[in-house]
Amino acid sequence: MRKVLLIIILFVSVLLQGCGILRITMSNLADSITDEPRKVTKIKNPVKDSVKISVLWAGHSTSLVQIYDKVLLFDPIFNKRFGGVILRRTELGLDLNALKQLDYIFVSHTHIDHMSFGSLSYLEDKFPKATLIFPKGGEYYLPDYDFKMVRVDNYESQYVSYIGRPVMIDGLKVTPVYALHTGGRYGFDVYSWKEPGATGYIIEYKDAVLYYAGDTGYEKNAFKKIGSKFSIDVAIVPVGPCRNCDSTGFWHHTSSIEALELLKDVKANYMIPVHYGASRYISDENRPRDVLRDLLETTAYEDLKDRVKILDVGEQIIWRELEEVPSGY
Amino acid sequence: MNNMLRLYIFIIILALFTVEGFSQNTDIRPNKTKKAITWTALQLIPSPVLVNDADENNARVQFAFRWQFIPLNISFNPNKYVSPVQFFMINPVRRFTGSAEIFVQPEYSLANFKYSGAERLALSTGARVIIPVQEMGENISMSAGGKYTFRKNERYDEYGYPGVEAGVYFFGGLFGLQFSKDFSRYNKYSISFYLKYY
Repeated sequence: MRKVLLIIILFVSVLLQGCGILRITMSNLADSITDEPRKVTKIKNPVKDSVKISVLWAGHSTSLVQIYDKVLLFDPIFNKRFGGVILRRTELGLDLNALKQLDYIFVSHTHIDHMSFGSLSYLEDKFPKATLIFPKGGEYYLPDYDFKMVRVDNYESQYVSYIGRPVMIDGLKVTPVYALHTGGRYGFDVYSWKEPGATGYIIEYKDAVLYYAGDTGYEKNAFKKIGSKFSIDVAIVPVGPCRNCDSTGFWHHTSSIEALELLKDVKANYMIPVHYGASRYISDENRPRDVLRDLLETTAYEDLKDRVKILDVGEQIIWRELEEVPSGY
Repeated sequence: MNNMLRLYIFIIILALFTVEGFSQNTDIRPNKTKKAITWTALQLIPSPVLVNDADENNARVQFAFRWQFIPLNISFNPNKYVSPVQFFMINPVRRFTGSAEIFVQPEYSLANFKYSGAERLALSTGARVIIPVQEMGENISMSAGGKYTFRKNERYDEYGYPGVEAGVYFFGGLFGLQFSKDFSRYNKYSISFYLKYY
């Protein structure tokens, strides 16, 4: 019997060794059982009149963006637990009942902290006429929805030239751009098989240009090329997870310092950091933000201080014709 | 047998560790070779099973290993970009969001069946339907199906028996529990910890 147990332990160890998601899941499990997400204040009217660009950070990477009359939602995750087990430390900062309009849903990649079947089902019921946009490879991890489902061909941007071919989707010009990241969802398909299905997006509508970086590691050449091709108004950039946030990020994610370098490269007018605060991966969930703040006080990055807008979960920032108005709830 | 078992485990572990499991490099191109090696190695990992071993007067459970193969899966809910039909390497999403499948399960008991006298080696084949329960099936899905198990038992002059099975699965259907009710005189049920990656 001891031999049998040893065999089972060996098998499970091998499984866990190859599966980063499982390792993170196990380390978060105890907290998930005992803790509850921190409550946040939520805006009652997230969609506004007379807006050029607004961004409401709903936590982790979920961001509600308004560009003039179009309402876009990126990487919607409404769940209390990622993947059913990993507790989010801060609740969703978006009042779903207050959301009366949604035109586009963007999925940057298929990992469990960026794409939730239940959240998409909720949106399908409420906004069946919305368009769901995802990168090539994402189709393998998506069931059928009533949305208009549009697959963006990101082969060129991921593997050839950093910038893909733009597509017009109901008046919105969507260009897939490089993200140093992979698709997949269940461990080996992410880390070993490196399934396709990750992208960044450049969204152009009227005179506004938004860059949603998805999840990405730092790749200077790619970001410089993106910056040379587009005049970006607002960049939504992932920061962390990272332990040494003033050096390099954890597995294909930008650290705090890399996010600032990214901002320099893409030359966006403003950057909104996301992808922290909700889940404890390898360090405190807010460490990437704290280090980012510290870096902005240093001489190397103080010139970026006015361009980096660190929002609280649930906070919205609005630009009207590029004239910034105070952020608030 | 012990040497065979050690060799078997060694091969699986070697296959999984020789492919790079986790890297910081900037190569994000899909790797089909690693995919083929790791998938094959992962299919060799058996699901632990407890099998009923009984005769007219005695009963106990016997520990066994079961391998899960799915030659055919037909999804009820595929999007327009993918095929509903899959063979052997089964994408979990198309499976747990609702599907029907044919399965084949070789099974090997780690010891002799003391009471029933059945052969240690068995092969089950059948069909099941998977139904999503929570988060479109990703968090929880369930299955129900029927099967026929080929297992020789000269003492009772039996060569197989039908059965029904039910299962509950978690995290993309990669882990689960299966219960089988077998219509046999000597192996009346089995309980399995289901393990299958793709």
